[in-house]
Amino acid sequence: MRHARHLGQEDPYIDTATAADPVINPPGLAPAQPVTKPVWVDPPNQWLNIDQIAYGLLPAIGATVVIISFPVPIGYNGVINRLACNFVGGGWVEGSGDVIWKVLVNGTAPPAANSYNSIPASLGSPANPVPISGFRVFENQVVTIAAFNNPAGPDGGIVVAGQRVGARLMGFLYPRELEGNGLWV
Amino acid sequence: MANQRTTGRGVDLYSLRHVQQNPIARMLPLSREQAMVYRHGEPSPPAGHLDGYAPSWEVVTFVIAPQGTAQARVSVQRDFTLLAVNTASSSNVSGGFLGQMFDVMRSVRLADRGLQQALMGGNQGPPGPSAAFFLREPYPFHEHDSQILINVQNLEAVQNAVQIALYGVCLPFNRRHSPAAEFPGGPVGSAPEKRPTTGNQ
Repeated sequence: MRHARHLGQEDPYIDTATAADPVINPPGLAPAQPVTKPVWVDPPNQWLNIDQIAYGLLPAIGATVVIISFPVPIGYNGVINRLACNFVGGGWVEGSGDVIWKVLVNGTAPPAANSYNSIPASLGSPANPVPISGFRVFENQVVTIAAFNNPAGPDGGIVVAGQRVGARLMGFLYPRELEGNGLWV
Repeated sequence: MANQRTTGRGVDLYSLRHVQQNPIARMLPLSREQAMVYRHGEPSPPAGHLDGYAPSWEVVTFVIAPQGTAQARVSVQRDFTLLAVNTASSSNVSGGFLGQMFDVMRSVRLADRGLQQALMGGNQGPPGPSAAFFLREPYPFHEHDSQILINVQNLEAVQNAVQIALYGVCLPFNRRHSPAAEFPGGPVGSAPEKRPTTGNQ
């Protein structure tokens, strides 16, 4: 739900502490306008972090394992902007398609983020996740990273021998009231 | 006490019985609206401001990868008014798909989150669609150059062929004798005044 800002209410996009900083805004000079970007670009003061990391055992051929799954807390929307997924053990060739990672929101790809439902590569590592174009998430949605042992891969999937698949998801949450009325898609 | 009223007799403040709910399509007559859902064989077809309007199906088709997503934009014809939605999908094991619609010119989202296929286009189940979703109140796309943005997310673990049909009425741009005024944006290129006449006309 989006709330209209009332007359006289403090602009939520203006960081008053930054505006009052004497180094940033020296006294005697015209006060500089603090640059604040929309909450889905830069986290506002009231942000919460998203940083989920987990590993799972490689599932049997044709099966899927959920590595990370978490609900977006009530009252918050957010942005996922960093991702890692990796494979620990033998038998997998990078990019072969024998293992497919999936980033799903409520069981499907996030709207307009089609490439995340079929990731054939290990992106970064849990110790060093890579920036991604990202997508927005909304309260109550369930964000999931899963790995699929793909029987349609060139090797017909990977024979299970104790390998692990890992993932990490990073981003931030903000109170959904800060989204404003201009956001409609 | 109700019998002593001289005005508004028969009007129940809590009833919509005498309220015209669907003035453009006029699919529901004001009398016996509970029994007569559709108008069949009326001697007087729509006239006046409805003259020249025609049924219109705006259809989008997607072939979406497993658990993938896709978008499409529909540039609707003049005065398009959405009356009903119907959907179909080649797979509906896990719910089919989620769909969202947006009114681009007005910057309005018609669904905050993706709407599951069964809620968007009638009670679904393999095989095929079963029922359309009729809007009680029509939604007009009357802004100049209106567009509908449709966002679809495939819930299935297999490739899904999704079709969404948006049924409504519009003022077709290629009518030979349009009684209605053009949009404020000016006459379109195919307006009757601009069209060269041929022997067939």
